[in-house]
Amino acid sequence: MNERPQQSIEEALAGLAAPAAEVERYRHRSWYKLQSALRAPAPARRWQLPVWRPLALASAVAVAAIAFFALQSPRAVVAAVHGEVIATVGEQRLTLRPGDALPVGASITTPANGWVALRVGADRMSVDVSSTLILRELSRFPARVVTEQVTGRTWHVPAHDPGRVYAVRTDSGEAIARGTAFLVVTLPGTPVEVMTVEGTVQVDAPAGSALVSAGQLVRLGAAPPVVEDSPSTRLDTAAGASLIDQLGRSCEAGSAEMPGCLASGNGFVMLPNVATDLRIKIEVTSAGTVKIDVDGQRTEVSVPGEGTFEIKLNLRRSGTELEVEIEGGAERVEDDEDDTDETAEPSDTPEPSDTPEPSETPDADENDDEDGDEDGETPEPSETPGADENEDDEDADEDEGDAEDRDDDEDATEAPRPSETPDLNDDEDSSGGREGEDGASDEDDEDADETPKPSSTPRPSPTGTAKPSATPQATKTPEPSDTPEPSKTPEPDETPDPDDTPKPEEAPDPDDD
Amino acid sequence: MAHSGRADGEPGDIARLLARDEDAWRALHEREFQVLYRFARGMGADEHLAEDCASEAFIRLLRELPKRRLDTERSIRAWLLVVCRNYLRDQFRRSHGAPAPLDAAHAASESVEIDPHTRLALESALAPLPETQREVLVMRFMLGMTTQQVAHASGRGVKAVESLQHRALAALRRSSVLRKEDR
Repeated sequence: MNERPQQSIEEALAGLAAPAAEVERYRHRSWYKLQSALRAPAPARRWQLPVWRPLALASAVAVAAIAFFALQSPRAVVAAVHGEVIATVGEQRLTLRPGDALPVGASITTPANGWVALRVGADRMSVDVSSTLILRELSRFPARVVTEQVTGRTWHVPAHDPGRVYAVRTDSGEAIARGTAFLVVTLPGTPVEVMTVEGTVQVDAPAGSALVSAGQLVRLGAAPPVVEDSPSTRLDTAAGASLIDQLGRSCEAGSAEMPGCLASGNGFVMLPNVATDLRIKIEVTSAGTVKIDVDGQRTEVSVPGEGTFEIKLNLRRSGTELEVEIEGGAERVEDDEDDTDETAEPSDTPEPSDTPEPSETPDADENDDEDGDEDGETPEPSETPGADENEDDEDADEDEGDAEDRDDDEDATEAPRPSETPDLNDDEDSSGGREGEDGASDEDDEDADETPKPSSTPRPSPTGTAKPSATPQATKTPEPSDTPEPSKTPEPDETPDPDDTPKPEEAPDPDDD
Repeated sequence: MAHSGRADGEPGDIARLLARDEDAWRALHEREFQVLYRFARGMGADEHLAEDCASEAFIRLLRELPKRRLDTERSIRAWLLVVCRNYLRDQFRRSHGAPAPLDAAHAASESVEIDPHTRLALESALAPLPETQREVLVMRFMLGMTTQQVAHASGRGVKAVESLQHRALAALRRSSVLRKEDR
């Protein structure tokens, strides 16, 4: 047979196993080895980190980090700033820059030509010119944002969240937002005003409480608050248009937000007399007309062709009457211009008739500050000469007569405020310390040197804004106390029309209105 | 020779092993050493390597038992065999790359008598077998393990073990050495 039976192979394989004697012989040797290993001291059990422990540790760290950040007070972040806005945090004073984070307790003070836009989470707030706001409470749990407005004007657009508190305190009372957009005005000598553009604001004052709905305002004083109608202005124009105020702020939810103005559909809703000198910036693809509807007053402005154009618009509301003035036609602007640029554009250069009156210049405010006279009125943004900072020198050169006035205005803008800028001779400080603005101010300086004005006020003078013939003190170096009495300044609602502005030859008499 | 091996573990014994009880370890060593030694020898190791292989497996068990879930005698044997096989594999790889034929001079099983020529031919026929097939033959016929025990010890399925066994035996039957021996 060729093949061995399977059983035979299996039996033969079993026979190949190592014999018992051999196994026993080597088993003893093996046992001795194992026995010595057994008798050796047991190795200290090394502490091994189980797999779940690092995971648990990492989870704990993550939870702790989340809790830490959640419980940590949020900060107010500077979204945009214009001018030398000072924040005081404890003993520290700092000039705000975009991206700065301000903690609780920070006091924000804006100069006459500066403003700052802040973000606290989804809340937006803007501190307008010549205002002081203190961050009193910023917390996530419970969700509370409480600010104290010392003076000036602040614009608030808190996030819509009914479970949280967003309040603005003043000396006269507290405005608590209920998912709305509202403006708080605390000007010296006048009752605190709370104006609502959207939603409802609860106002609590010692004399009583009130709910202020959209289109209403309330003045807080000794008497119980009475809600009044505050007809807002609705401006409709073509889709995609931007509405920009004199300080370059846009009526949109952006970094530089125009106080008292909300975008609504194809138009805008504005509080009365908050922003009066405006620009509509629009991009068109062909020649035609741009329709503008301001509270039913319709106007058409022709545009010559494709491009981006700006239309200057002056709005003045006196009581129930609204006066709308379109300045000139549509002016072509560069497409790449930034609407929300912090510096005012050259087109903001006021016409001669727009030259601020002595009472509208910052000097009046300085006088207010120094004298502590509460009758003085803080100029409104549209009246603030801060927009003059970047005036185009070429434009100024075109009209020597105008240039003289304008240079005076520039000096006024650049003149440091004694209370804010310790170094009166420091031009850089007076321009807000920004590079671009410094450059602008340098140019202005040159321009001022090239066109010396006999009556022009020396630059360091804090009251250099006065026009030579418009103020009695123009022929001498004005001192802060030489500025017109703030009590003579017009009320915000009584702002005279530009055309009514007294000519330089006329003696300024704001009471003419 | 058959190794029954208790299927169920004794928790008391495992506890004593964990407590490094010398008697328990001695009993385990007496029972399992012959399995490991014969396995190593069947896989081609000489006496010293087989003894080293078994000793290494026990010492490693002494070190690893607290960390592993070896709670039955069967699982302990399987683990010891795996350690021993890997040890041999390493040693063969280091030395000459293949298991040596059985040492005929020392291989003399008292249970089954086979003539020296057949032994020599069988040993020569086993040498070229793949390791997996040889491992199954050693466990099945030299250690007397059942197919299920082999499957458990080698980490394979029963069908796979049966297949390996079938192919290994067929290879042995086809072996010219054994055919020549038959003639």
